[in-house]
Amino acid sequence: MSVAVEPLLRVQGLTKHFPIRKGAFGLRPAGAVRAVDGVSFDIAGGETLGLVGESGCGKSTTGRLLVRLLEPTAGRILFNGTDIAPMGQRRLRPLRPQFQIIAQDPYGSLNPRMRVEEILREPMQVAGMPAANQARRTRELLDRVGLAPGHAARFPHEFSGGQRQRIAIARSLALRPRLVVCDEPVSALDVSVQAQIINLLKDLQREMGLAYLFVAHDLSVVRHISDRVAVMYLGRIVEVAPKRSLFAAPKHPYTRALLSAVPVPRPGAARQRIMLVGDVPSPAAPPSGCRFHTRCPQAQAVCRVDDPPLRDLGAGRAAACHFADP
Amino acid sequence: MQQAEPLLSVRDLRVAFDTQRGRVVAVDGVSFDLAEGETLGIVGESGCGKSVTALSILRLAGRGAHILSGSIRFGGRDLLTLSDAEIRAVRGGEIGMVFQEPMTSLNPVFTVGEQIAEPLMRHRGLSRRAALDRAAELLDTVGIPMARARLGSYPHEMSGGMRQRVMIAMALSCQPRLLIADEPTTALDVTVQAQILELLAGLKRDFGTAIMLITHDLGVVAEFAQRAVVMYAGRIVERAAVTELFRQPLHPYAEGLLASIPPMDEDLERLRAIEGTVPRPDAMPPGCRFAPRCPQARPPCRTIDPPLLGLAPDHEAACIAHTGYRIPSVQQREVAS
Repeated sequence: MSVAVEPLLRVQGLTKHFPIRKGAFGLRPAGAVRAVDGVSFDIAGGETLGLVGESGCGKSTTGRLLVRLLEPTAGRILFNGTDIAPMGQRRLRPLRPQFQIIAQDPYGSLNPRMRVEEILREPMQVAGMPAANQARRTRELLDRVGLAPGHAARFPHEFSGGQRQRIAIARSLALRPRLVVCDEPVSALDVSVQAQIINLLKDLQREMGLAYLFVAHDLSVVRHISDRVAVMYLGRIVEVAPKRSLFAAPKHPYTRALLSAVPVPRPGAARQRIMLVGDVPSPAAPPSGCRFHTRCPQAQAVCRVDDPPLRDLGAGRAAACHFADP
Repeated sequence: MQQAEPLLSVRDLRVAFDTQRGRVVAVDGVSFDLAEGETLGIVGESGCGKSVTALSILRLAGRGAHILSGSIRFGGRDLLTLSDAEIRAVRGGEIGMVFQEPMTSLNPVFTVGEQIAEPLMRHRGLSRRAALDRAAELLDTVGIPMARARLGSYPHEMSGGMRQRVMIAMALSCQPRLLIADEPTTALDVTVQAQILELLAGLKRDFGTAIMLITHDLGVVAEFAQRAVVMYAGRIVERAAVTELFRQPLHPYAEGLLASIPPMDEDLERLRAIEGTVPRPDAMPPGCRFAPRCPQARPPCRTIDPPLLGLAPDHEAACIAHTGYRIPSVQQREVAS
């Protein structure tokens, strides 16, 4: 009997449309912003999937849907085989310890009136952990993310941006989750501090067997931390592949353009830059056919009509392009 | 060997701010030159003083800012000694400026055409009609399609990349000799960033505009600038030709910054992070300001304030590790530079 290993997370056809309402009282429905429009992917236990794309592509919305901070319009989110997409808050509560999220701006996500200790204990209290265990776990967490025991009594404003992100990481780990969605966790940090936090996230993953969905726009950071990378454009995944093959030989023209646009810290490096024209179209009115055809240097007539599916190219790679070769 | 006078020459600039915690010095003794037609990158992390330096050149650092000392020579004058009317003539006239967030720098209640035309009427004395004609040409130059139709658009009707193009069009309207761009692409997506950098490179090529580019992104500096200044905690720690800086950074901070960027074509297990955090401006450490975070720091670093030393042709660094942890005598310094 062959046993197919069930991934920790399996996302199928995930969709989120935000309704646009017009009229005097905002009552008249007038279409929808198709922020996430039929996205499917898996994440194995202990794996990091990077999710990249430009602003408005739906990557952060995808992350927020996974931890059910948003309600999906359609699709399935199988966490350990259980579909959490249709669940209400009451049914989600016992499952929530297993999936957590770290936001971009730790200052906005930490209550400024709570001391670090209270911030870390809050999820434990909600989960009904005995008080003695809470104290021990708080000390463990502080130590684990590189903060001193004395930091427990301080308030978030007394910390630098990097230290605040350490607090947010500690809080997300309080209940030993299996999946952490990292939503641009280092984008607000300076480069030198970024590296500290990235190293910390990698160490924690190894020790705790965490799976990450790492949402970011910085491609070099994503390449460093991910096992596999998915590229989003206008609410869709256009390419997914193991990181080495994605960065060495991207199959989708959008991925190629995106990678070629990143400035590299190596003066005089010979590079062929693929310059995209124009801006990303509005997700409220995505183009017909392939959503990238309006900016694609290789677009043909078929691209304006037929919407290419994410096609398996072998070796763990897939791309949504009529012309992608295996 | 003395060459022609540089276009811009900043000497010993010190700028302080009045804050709730008292007066803090944000820029502490910064000196650099920018030649005609050259592109200079000013790199550093938040709070290093790079933006304050740039804003001080046009005396735009704000009400709480005090320029304590220094000179900023541009076109034969010291900008710090000009009257308010004179500095206004320089701003938008001889020196153009582009900021990070075009939405906050553009006026939301005027059309982009009116905003581009305004400096042309003010500085160049053009009629309204002629100024609007020129504005349409400028929008075309910065790659805005259907430029004339766009004159009547308001900033909120445009995308971030388009707004930044409008900012650049405004900055260029009077054909400045120097363009100061403060994080011009930081708020933009990477494919749009590539478009804007290409546009700036074209301006330099076609009009010989000198550009001072303030950024935290070392990749942008590597691709765009000829020379670079690296700032840390209000001081310049390294000043070099870009090729030299990236080939062999001489200051441990610059070296650490470069090492902390994950490479795009190589797998590393760990990044080499710089430990600790930037000192607060009201609690600067004595001696070298990077010493508390520096892997190479030795006891003298905690007391000696290292001067910027010429260590190789077109390459200076403020680190005494290169001189055996001693400050060289004046003669040695002259030989070195």
